Amino acid sequence: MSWENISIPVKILKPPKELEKPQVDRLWGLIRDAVEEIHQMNASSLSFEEIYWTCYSLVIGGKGDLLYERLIQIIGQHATKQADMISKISDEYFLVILNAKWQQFKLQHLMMQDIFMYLDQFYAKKKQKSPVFQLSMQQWREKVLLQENIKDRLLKMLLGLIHMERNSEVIDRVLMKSLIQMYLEVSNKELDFYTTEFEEKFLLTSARFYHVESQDFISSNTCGTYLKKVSLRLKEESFRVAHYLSKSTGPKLLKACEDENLKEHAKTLLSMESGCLEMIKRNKSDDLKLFYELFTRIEGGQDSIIEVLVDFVKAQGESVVKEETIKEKDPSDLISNVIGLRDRCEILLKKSFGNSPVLAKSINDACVYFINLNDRLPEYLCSYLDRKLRMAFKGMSEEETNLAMVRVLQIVRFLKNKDVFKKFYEHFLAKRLLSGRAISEELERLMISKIKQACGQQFTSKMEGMFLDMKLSNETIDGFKNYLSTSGSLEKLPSVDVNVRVLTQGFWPTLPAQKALLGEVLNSYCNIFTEYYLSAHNGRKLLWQYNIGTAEIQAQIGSRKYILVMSTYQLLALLLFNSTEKLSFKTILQSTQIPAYDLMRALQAMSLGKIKILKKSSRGKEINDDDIFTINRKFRSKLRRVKILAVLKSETEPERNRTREKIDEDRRLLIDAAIVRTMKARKVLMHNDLIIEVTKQLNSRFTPKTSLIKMRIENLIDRDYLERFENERRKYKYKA
Amino acid sequence: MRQHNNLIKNFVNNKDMADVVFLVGKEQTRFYGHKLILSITSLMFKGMFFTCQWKEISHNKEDEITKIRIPDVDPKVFLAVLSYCYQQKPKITLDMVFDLYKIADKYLIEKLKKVC
Repeated sequence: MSWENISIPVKILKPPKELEKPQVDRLWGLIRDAVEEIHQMNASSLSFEEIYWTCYSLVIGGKGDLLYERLIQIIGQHATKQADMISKISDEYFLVILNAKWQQFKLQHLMMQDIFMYLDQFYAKKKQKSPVFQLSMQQWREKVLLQENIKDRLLKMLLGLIHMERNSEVIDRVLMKSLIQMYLEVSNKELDFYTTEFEEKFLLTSARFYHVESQDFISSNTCGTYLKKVSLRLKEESFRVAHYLSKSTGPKLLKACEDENLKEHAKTLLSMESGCLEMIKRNKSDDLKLFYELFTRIEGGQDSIIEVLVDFVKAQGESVVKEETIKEKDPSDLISNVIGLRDRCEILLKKSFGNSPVLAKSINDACVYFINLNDRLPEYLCSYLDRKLRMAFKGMSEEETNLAMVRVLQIVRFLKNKDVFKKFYEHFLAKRLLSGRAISEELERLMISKIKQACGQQFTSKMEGMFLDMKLSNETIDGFKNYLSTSGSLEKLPSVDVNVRVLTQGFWPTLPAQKALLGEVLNSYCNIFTEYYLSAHNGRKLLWQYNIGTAEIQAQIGSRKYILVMSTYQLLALLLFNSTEKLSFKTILQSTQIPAYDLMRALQAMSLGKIKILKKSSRGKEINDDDIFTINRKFRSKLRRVKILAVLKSETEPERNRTREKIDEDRRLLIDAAIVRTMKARKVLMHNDLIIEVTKQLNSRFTPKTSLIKMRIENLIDRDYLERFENERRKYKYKA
Repeated sequence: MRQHNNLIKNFVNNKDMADVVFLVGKEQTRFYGHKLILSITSLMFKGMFFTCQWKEISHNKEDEITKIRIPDVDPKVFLAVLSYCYQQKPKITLDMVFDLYKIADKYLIEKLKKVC
């Protein structure tokens, strides 16, 4: 590059000269003619290059102002001319012509946007004026759409067409779309023409339409039919938005429809004869699903459904858990009904309420409410499970069994007093394990693992301990039998197949250890076992629990031989008859030293039940001291093996009370522990804070009564664990 | 990208697939161009080719190439603009920098204007 050439640029760099008037007039003339041609739809006679150059020359010649102003003028004139023409068109063709003219105008001004691009870029932008195309849109808006003979007519006709379509007539949707789009296209950031001139009025008419329609329709139809219609209407409106309205209108339009159709009638829909409550009562899951779908659209809709649902579940639950529903002391029906109701809720939740977590929680809360209304429900649950487990869930497939367990545990989860459930479950489990009958260990363990999942590891530790004891006992007894045959002690004794269960204290529900006279033979066996066991496990102490033992004996009654299965107590009583014919109750009591109540039960089972081994001298169910018992020589049974286990069959009242007492005792200990633990950590605490803290800690097991906690605090103060502040009696201090 | 640039370079003033021809300067020197590529870089070309209404395009018989007369520009400068449209890399020599600036301004090629 040679630097001598530098003189050339200097010449060109001079600012372009301002154009002289004649030149401006000539150039403007070219532009005016060109725009006119475009307005006549004769653009093909025009050279883009030429017009562009003309515009460019005017702008760089400093005449942007003039060009811009004059353009506004001629576009305005053109628009006015169009408006005059359109306003004279009869209604029949009005919309079609208006649309055609609009499309033409738009195309013309898109072309003008191209040729006046230089004006937009270097004049309008700099001076912060609207670009040429926006000018055109503004002119169309002001001169055409706001013209008095066009404005109202256009709106009225558009709304009229929509009304027709709502009444199931077919309308030209393409035309609708184009015209409504026009409102949008002439809008801009500063002026939302679409919203103010069309949308607002359209929403008003829509609301009015549905106001009338819904009033009419709801009065003559069922809730279900009404909702189907509403749902259809909402769908139609959504389609309407998609077909020819602005997307932004969608939510507003649907809200207007929902308000008129649903919100206005919410109360009626919830409470009318065929309304929400009725749907729940009759399990109309499809109708309810629609109800839910629609109501969740309106404000507060979900809450009002929840209210109806919760009231229903609570009322239904209250009637289900009533003690009066129990027939013949069998609470299974009560539990089945509770599970049934819970199931029903679950199905509704899934089928109708889209598994909504909010509704699920409300349903659960309602279940917690009614399940905890009946204090004995935890116990009934256990008894229900006991029945099922004793029959090994007869007639159920593996899957069904599993499901049945899961259902019961759902109820368990809702229990506030899980400790009651635990105690009774342990109680029944112990009975099942010790009854000597075959049980399904697999099912028992499955059940326990499920309880563990629901209530935690600690909850089932005792139950698992029981299983461990059973297993160890089997091993012990094998060892013992071995010992018997090798030690030679057998020779002196009649052969008895002895089976001993060694139960760890603490795992098993404690029963009072009761004495009874075993008789020579059995006593010897017990002694040998004790000797054997203690030799292997030094330092332990064995307490015999005759009251839960069972026995099988061979007996000859009349000419036939039977195998009799009975409790140890029954055996002890029966053995006495080997040497004597007749015995009074008093004598039996003295000879066996079995507690009177238990002996009475034992004898009742043998003399009053289906299987009468003994004859009682007096009539009636009661046993008196002087009643005389004799062996029933006329006893007959088709079976060779006869079971007399009536005593163990049902939960007796004293046993139940004992379990209850045990629960209360456990609770006292737990509360004590919680109080001491809290005070040890906090040292000083106000009464109310202590109550709250203790309640919180214990809530997973049971809901402690405040009065009980107060009592325990007093007790702990007496025992010198805590003390009150002298000047502030409601404040406690921990005494180390 | 470099590879792409090299490939597209071959299309500068190439008759293959060209759909527009410019007759530039007093001698009406022919330059071939591709509407799509020119429209990408220059707003003016985009406007020109956008609607098929204008004389330059609408009078075409079928298959006939669009002819555009540009009498007021030096062919050398026009070629520089043309190759800029394809490669987005200006080859500017000092002797034509002001002419180039003028055209970039008129044709609404902002980037080229800035480079000048």
